[in-house]
Amino acid sequence: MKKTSFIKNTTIFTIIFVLFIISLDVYVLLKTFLLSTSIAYVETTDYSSSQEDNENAVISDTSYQDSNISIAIDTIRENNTTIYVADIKLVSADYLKTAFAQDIFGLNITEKTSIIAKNHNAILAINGDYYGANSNGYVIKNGTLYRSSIRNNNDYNDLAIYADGSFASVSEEESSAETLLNNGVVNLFAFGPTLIEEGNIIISESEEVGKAMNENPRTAIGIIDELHYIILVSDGRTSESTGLSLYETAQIMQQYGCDLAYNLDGGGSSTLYFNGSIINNPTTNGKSISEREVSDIVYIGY
Amino acid sequence: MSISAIKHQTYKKVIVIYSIITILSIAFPIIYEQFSYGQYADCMRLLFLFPLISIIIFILCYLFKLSINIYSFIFYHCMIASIMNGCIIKGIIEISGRYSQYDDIYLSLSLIFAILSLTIFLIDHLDILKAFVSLRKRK
Repeated sequence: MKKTSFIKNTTIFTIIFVLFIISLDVYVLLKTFLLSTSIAYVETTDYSSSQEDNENAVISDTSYQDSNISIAIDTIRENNTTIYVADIKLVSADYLKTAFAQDIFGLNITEKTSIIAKNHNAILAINGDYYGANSNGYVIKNGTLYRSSIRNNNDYNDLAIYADGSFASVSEEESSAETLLNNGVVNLFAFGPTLIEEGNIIISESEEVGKAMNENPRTAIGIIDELHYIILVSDGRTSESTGLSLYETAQIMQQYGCDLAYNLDGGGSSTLYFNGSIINNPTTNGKSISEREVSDIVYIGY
Repeated sequence: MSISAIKHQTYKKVIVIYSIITILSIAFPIIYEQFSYGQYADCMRLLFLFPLISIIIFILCYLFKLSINIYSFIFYHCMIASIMNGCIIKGIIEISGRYSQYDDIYLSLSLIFAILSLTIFLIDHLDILKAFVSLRKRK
């Protein structure tokens, strides 16, 4: 009787333990990947005034030109990959903006780049740094500080965009988010690495984001000169386009004369939106072409 | 029949079970990484070490005919299950490109079970030591 009671107790304990562990796993995975947490709502802007500026625009499949914004998109082929390079010249840094998915700052809040871009009347847009995948790392968007906790992985610097449109590579360990904001940073991206600084490639040929494979779809942004920018988006993971390594991305950005270039979220997130359409071939698994939902975008618009 | 100590032949079964778990712990990351576009996580690749160390412990217990209290035994398994579970979850999160902020929960859980297992084991063997000492005194 004593033995039977003991076996019954240990069986009950084992069942309770297994149920507890499974519940904990489910909670952790749901919290990490699925459950969204809204932290702040962004005031929506009235874009109707932008219609006047757009009226005189000269637009083609690969270019946009008005009195304030000039965009020219090159499609090139290198390293068995199709690459889209947008050369952007602005009259004011006000036209280089960012936006959140659903206009909400939070965790696991996502939307397709094209939807966010359409909602903000973007002329050109790319995916951002996918801040919403993590619960720390600085988030400064359009002059507002949303998060000031230092990110877990400090191997890479952030990209700071100042009110005058200039870029800088900054370390979260060296400057607080509040200091950056007070110094005039209006947009900040926490991904990386910085590819080019002062015109020189600063990464090694074997550098990779985390422990990802070497060839991937890429998104990168760079500055050539005052208010003169380059955006690069490459395809990858398909038979038509294998993808680029970080070093290859840096080399192409350097060829276009980048003074500072920065790597943004790549892989399935890489998306280039221009004039109402997706230009590249975004894919996560290499089998189907479809946009991934992302947490934020960078765009050119009014 | 006493149920307070693990039978000697049980060690053989446990060693076989942990060997199977070790093999599965090696295979799982290999299979998972096939779908992760080359991303990998160190904690997942080193998962096999926990059952492997357990095999060594139980081989030593078997060879030295060490008795383990059943409760210490169960808590030990709970500790291994907790830490292996934590490694798998951490690996899944890191491979997705995120950073795990739940390591502490699994680590704390396995630490609690480790302390419980070790404490019961030491208390159990202190009694045996006391009994041995008192026997020596009587002689």
